[in-house]
Amino acid sequence: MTRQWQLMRDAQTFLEASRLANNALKGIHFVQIARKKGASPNAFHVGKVDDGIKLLERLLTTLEARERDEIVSSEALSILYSIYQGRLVASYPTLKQTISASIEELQKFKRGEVATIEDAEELLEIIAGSTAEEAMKASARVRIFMMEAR
Amino acid sequence: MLLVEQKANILLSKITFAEKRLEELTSLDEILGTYVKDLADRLNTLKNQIGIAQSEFREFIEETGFGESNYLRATSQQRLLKDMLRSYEEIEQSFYLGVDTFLPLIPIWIHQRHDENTRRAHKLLVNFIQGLLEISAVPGGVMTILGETYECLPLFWEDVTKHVIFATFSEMQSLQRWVLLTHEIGHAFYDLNFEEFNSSVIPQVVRKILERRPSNIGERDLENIIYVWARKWVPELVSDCFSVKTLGPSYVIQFMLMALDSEPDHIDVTHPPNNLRVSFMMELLDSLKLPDFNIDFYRDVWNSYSQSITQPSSQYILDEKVVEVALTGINSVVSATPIRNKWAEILSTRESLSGGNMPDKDLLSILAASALLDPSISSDWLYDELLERYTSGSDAP
Repeated sequence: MTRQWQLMRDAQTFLEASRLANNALKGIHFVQIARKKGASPNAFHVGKVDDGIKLLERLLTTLEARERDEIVSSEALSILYSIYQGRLVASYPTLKQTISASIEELQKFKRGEVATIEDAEELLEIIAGSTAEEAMKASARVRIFMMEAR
Repeated sequence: MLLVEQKANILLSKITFAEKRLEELTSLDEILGTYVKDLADRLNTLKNQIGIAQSEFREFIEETGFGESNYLRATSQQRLLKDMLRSYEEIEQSFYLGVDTFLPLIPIWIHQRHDENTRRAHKLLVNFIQGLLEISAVPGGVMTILGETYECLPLFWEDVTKHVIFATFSEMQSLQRWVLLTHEIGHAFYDLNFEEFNSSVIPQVVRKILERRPSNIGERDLENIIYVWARKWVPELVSDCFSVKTLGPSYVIQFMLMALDSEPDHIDVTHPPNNLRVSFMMELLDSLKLPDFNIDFYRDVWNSYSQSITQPSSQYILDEKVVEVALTGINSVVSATPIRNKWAEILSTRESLSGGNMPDKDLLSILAASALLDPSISSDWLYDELLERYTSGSDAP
């Protein structure tokens, strides 16, 4: 497989991760806006936060599993790659702590126990942004190749 | 109409365009038919995603009072707008990757099946690919196109992964080169068996990379190396292993010809160094113990070039323990060895071809044997003979 086609696979993986993180962010922001107005948030948006929780749990599980000979999420490996290409400079122990804290924060947010979730939101924004950027880079290179090929 | 609404409409019109193209297809052949159904499902999903994005945007306007005459000031509203726009970006890119790349291939496929200049060669090629799929137990038909170079285009449509295989147009009559397509089928094999690789080989490789981490390698470099191995090199080496176990020496010899270059140890993020790949293939050939094949001759041929110009790397990405774990794991998962049963037939076919005779053998054996022929023996006649044998009498495969 030529390097351009390999990028198709990468772009798909990054896009899916970005979609999940972005779904969670949309849920969070809709809920925040509703709560600020004193309205009860739409259950659909509250449910979207679960996409973020699942994504972060998969990342955490992969970080732990890969230290043992256990199944890793291939998608999570790509997410870790993309976030370390970008702004994240945390060591693994710090990253694990941040992910765990973010999962807890998101669960509390869902239950309405906290109004703001700075850590989780920032982490999801890093994931959504960096994976979207990697997807964009990958598909831009595929695009150039497709034009040349035709 | 708001800009975002116009954007949604443009995306919807692209989907409508694609749907119409699919509807216009009459008398679908068996292979294209399987793609069309899955693509139609993919278009439906994209349409649903646009519907959700549109409805979320309407809700966003209700909640925030957003209009294009002023901008938002509340932080959560600004952030939500960003999320909304990112959703559209994702849909646009998904459409590009899954539809824009594939849609133009449909008329190319149809054209090559019917055009007087390509029809017969294309049919021969499709027959060869079908033979490869059968011998290697990779299910389904695969669209094959005479294109720019040997490659495999993967398409991810929901839970379905499809592939389009390309062969080099200028090598249409160089039949011995077609065995290189085995590597491309190997990528389909990898996708088909992804869970098995993901649950065995990849964790072992990642574990070994972490275990062997030098103290001067930071997290960023480490993630790079894990990513390259897990997402790029393992699939490439799986395809190589699959190819050797399917077509044996025929593949290895043609691969050596293709891979011969001035930098056999060059580290490329997308492919392992050629020296590593060839040495893996030689190990596999050794373990196959195919009779009447002098593996040392070919090993020496490769080494005469590579050892003369090699610059062995001590880079961490090529740590010998990591390499060992990867190759051992791949070798154990790619367990089938169709070449063992096919080898005798390929050898006898080569004997006939060397004498200028066309044997009564299957296409796969003939092309695999042609890849083993002494290059000084002309096989120009073979192409015409095979066209006559496999493609006369009907318009399309």
